[in-house]
Amino acid sequence: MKFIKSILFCCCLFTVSAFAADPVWQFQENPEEYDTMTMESYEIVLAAALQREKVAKEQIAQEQALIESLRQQLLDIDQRIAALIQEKYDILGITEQDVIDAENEIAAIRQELELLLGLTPEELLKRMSDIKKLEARIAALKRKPVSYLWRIRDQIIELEDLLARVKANLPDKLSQYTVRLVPERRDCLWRIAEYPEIYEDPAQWPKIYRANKTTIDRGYNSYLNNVEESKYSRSEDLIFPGQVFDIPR
Amino acid sequence: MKYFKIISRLILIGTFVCMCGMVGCTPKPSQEELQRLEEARSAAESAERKLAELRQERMNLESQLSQKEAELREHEAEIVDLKEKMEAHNQ
Repeated sequence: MKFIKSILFCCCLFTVSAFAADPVWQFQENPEEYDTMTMESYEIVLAAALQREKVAKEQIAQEQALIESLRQQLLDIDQRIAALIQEKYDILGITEQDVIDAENEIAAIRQELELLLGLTPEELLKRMSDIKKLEARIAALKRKPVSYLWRIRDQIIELEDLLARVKANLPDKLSQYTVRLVPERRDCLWRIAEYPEIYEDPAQWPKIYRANKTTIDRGYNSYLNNVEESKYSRSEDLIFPGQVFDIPR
Repeated sequence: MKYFKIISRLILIGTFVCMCGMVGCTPKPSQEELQRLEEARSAAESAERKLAELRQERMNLESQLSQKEAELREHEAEIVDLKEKMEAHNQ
């Protein structure tokens, strides 16, 4: 029994000493300890490194073949896409330049609308003519064949949304209007009624006259007193810059 | 029995001596061999790095291809839509 125990103890010593003196896994993880490795460990670690390199190179070759195939497929698909784009242009009777021009126009309109979005309601009111012009430009774009293209159509929809947001920022209709001195387009009751912030309808000028008859007649009578011969036969034909009119709603 | 004890003790002592000897007398690789091992290890790591890069490139290309295929299908659908609209317009 004691002899058997001794033999078992010796076997344990062998195992521990072999493991402690030469752990192969240690050298694979820590190359800086190569100096302490035995020849046997060296051969194992070297074989493992060479095998890793061999396997990696085989897989590199496979990946390179796959990559080449994918690049070719991408080239083919780009050609097919180009052909489809040309087919769309042929259906609509347009050219690539038409598309570029449309996109440039859309970008310009978008830029102006974004500027208008940053204005106060009062400032927007003064830019009504610009808003009308932008509206007309969008309508003109929609009439062109190029607007049938999905990407142009989507951009036009975005413009219309922007325009709606600009218009939503406009103030409510004015309740008073001060006659302006505009040399190239003199204010008169007809034109004032036509303004978007008033009635947008020149035929409604009598409403303004009836609501402000006293003010208008006073001004007319004052004019008559200061001239020998009047060019105006009716008081509603003559208004003066600075007069403030109530706008009935 | 007495000899048995002597032999077992000798074996024990011998094992202890061999254990010490193994550490001190085992052959070790030369500097050239260690250099070769270091080069092999570096080559393996380099190959594995390149493999990782190629795999990433392949994944990127597959993603691009998938997007292009979706774009192609969209163009085809748009052509069908345009033809229908042109026919309706001409009527």
